[in-house]
Amino acid sequence: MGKIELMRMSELYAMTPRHTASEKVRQMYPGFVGCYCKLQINMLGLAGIRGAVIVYNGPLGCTADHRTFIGPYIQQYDGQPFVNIVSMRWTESEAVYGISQDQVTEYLRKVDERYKPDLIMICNACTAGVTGDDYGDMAQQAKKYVKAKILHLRTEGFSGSCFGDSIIPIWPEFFKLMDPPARKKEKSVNILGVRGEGYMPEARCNFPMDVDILAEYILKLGLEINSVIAGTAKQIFTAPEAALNTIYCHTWGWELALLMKEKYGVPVIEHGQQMGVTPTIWWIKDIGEHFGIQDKAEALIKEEYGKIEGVWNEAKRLLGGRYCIVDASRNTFASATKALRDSRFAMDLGMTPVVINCHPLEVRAKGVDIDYFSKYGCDPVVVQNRYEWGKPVHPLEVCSLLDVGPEEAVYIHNDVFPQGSPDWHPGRVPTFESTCHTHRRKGASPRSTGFSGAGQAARSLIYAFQRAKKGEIATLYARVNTTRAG
Amino acid sequence: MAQDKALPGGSPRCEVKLEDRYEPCLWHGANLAACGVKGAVIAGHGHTGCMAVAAQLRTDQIVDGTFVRLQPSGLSETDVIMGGEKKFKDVLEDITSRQKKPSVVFSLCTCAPSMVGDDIEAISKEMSLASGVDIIALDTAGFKGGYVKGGDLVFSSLLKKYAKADLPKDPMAVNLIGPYMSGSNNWRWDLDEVKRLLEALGAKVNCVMTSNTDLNDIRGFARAKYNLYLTSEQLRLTGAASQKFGIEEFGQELPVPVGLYNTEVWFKEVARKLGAEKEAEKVLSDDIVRVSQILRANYNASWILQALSNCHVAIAGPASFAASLARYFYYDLNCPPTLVALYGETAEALRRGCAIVEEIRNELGTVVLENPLYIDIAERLIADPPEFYVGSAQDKAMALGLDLAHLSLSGFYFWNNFSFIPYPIIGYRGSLHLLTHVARTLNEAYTEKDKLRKGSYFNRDEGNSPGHRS
Repeated sequence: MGKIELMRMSELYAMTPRHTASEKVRQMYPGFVGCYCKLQINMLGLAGIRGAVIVYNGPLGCTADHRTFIGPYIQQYDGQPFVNIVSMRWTESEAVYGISQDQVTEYLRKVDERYKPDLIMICNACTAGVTGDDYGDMAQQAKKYVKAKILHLRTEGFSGSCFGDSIIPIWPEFFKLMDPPARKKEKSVNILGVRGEGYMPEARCNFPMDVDILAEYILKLGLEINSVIAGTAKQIFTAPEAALNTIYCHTWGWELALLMKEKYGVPVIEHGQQMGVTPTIWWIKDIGEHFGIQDKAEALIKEEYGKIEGVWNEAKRLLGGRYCIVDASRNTFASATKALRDSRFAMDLGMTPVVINCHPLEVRAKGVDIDYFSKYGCDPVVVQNRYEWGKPVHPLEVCSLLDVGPEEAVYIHNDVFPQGSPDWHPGRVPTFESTCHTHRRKGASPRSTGFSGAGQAARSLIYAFQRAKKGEIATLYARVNTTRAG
Repeated sequence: MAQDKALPGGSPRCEVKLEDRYEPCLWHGANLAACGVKGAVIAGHGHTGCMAVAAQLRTDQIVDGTFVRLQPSGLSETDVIMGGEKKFKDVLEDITSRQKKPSVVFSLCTCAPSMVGDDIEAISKEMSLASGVDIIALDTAGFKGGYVKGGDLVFSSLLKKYAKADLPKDPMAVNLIGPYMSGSNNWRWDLDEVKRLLEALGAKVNCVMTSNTDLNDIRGFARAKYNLYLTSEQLRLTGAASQKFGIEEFGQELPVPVGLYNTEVWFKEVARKLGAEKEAEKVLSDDIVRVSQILRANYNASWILQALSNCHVAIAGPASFAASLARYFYYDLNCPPTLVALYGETAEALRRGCAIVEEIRNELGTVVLENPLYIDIAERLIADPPEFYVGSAQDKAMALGLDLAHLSLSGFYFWNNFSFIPYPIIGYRGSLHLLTHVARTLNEAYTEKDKLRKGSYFNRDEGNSPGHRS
């Protein structure tokens, strides 16, 4: 562990080996990496595909892993449908002998009969990966006994720790399910990379999802939505019928979009992660340009920005010029992309972002996002030589490094357990809780997408600015997490 | 080949059973048990994904309990291929070299390192000798069983290592076994109530396996005359170890003391065992006075109790807990259960759960399912919808998706029980807390939100527009 260093995220990306370079990784970054496994991470999205049943090729406990927290939270907060996960229930016997072709076929046949899904996804757990049998081929052999489409996914937990390494190899697999377009819908758009939140305009939600905001703008431009991935299984099959692909998150959708462009000629707009005014404007303008409806795009931008202009400018006035410490995340699902999105948002408000607690391997795994953000001017400073050794950086250390007090900073975090202390709490520093998991505001999406999101985030920051004037009054969270009981 | 075994109709047949239920694996059970030991540290050999969920479930032992550090080796794909023993040794070296020594280290492993044969036992022995720190190494691969088995493995290993034999027996000393396996997501404060009730009988809680457990408690385990099981699951290894100490076991067949009727059954049997029936009567008569002080002539309470009367309820949860809740709803609240889904890791748990609910099944024709698929439950609920559903966070989306009000009472505390009030739901006193939860759910079930949304805030200038503004 060396001295704390500041460097650009692109520099960190360039100097970090891939996670598969094990020996180098072990020397450079002793200790464990990541939080969740490949299966758990992908289930964030897979479990949201309506019309699908998931078969776990592993022990029953892996099903429980999803149902312990990720499943219930994402179902309740995002309205993901209750997911049926059938386990092949590996025991010691299967650990030695594996699962036979007959068993795989029978599982799939029974699932198809019992649940009548459009799609069955078979996900490998660690045990299936260790035995090394070709379950993908076995699943294909079972096709003739099953009406649903079948997709086998190599989601062995140990084969990915970082978000990027876990998601990017898997989601392009959905390309295999796509049918050649029966027709072309000339005014239609797909939204890719929205994980598993789905798009249900028929449902009245308490809070809109990010996809709802993007869909709203697309519809206001006089276009239609063809597919959302991940939305329903059928939408995956018919995705090539669209005239254009747009992306929310490049990690979840970019590679799939490129495959669709190559095979089916569906163009894709590069801009995504539409948090803040400027990225939203870029995205809407690009759609307008593609369809030749630039005037409609300008009108939409004017109308929507007009609704939030006041509060946006006020936030800029109060917080512009400050350092914005972006705590990438130690405990939740966020990795480098969230930090980049928050950083760009901070820049949009005239702040200078400094990212902390982002593991280099997470950065390395997100090449597609690093490329995108840096291409369009967002390459934030990252604090190094501490977190990768298992020692989180405290924002106060960063303030000290930058020679500013907490009252001159802004703190954006993505954590269930944000760092708190008597000297670091919302009473001392304007704090914005930005994690998509717990962040809900009326009329705005969890990731503060679009103009409505920017407006609500700006409003939150204005409140945060006021709250940070009451340094002597610590929040409940700060008090209990700095008090040792007993 | 599949075609060789094809039957008429074309599909090969072999015995497979579809399973979809919430049963954390042996690895998680071992972690949960180990996290109840004060001063312990867990060296987890495996991928961080398994650690992440173990750390989440650990919340159950942290709340009003003890914080046990879980340090993972962070197995990667290359480690699975080439072996991860070096990484694991690094973890143990770090743990045992810190200034503050743990009371005990648990070396536990997940599926992958177990399959490839990483020898955590040998490494643990080596490190224990080198450092002088006690290390208990266990193969806790998830595919070896469920969380009950994992807990059983840890309990028995603690007894094997620490419990002293030949201690003088205290006839009123009782060990409490498996509190977090009771099925109640409020188990931590239910445990406090169990202790209070036992102490009111003149008994002494000797050792709890495990919750806030000191190693000294485990050393004195054999002092107790009785093991009182707070779970209906069968813990074979713990039972065998206890037998060697001449400890008598009971409690597995009893209902969980939720509500008045179940409490009477449970408490009177415990009192009978301890020869303290008179004391039990006194406790019950004192406690009912307290309950009556809150509920008698209480308009809110009477409103809710009448509203509940004859409501149909569906219940799902760990076997004896779900079965006991069925009795609570029927006998205490006059709510006939139409469906009871019992979940059990061991056959004994299912048998015991069935026995508890047998009378109701016979009288009312209640549908009782054993380890059902969620779709089995859903289809029954669609065919015969109850007024509300009692389950856990794991099935909440299913119930809400079927337009049923849902109350989480079953399972673990983690992300399931958002009560921060350290008060039981068991016992006479706990029935107040339990009724509070039920009342909220009933009010939720009865409130017509969609109509309110569409009908409120009428403005004649906007025409017949719905009142809701988003």
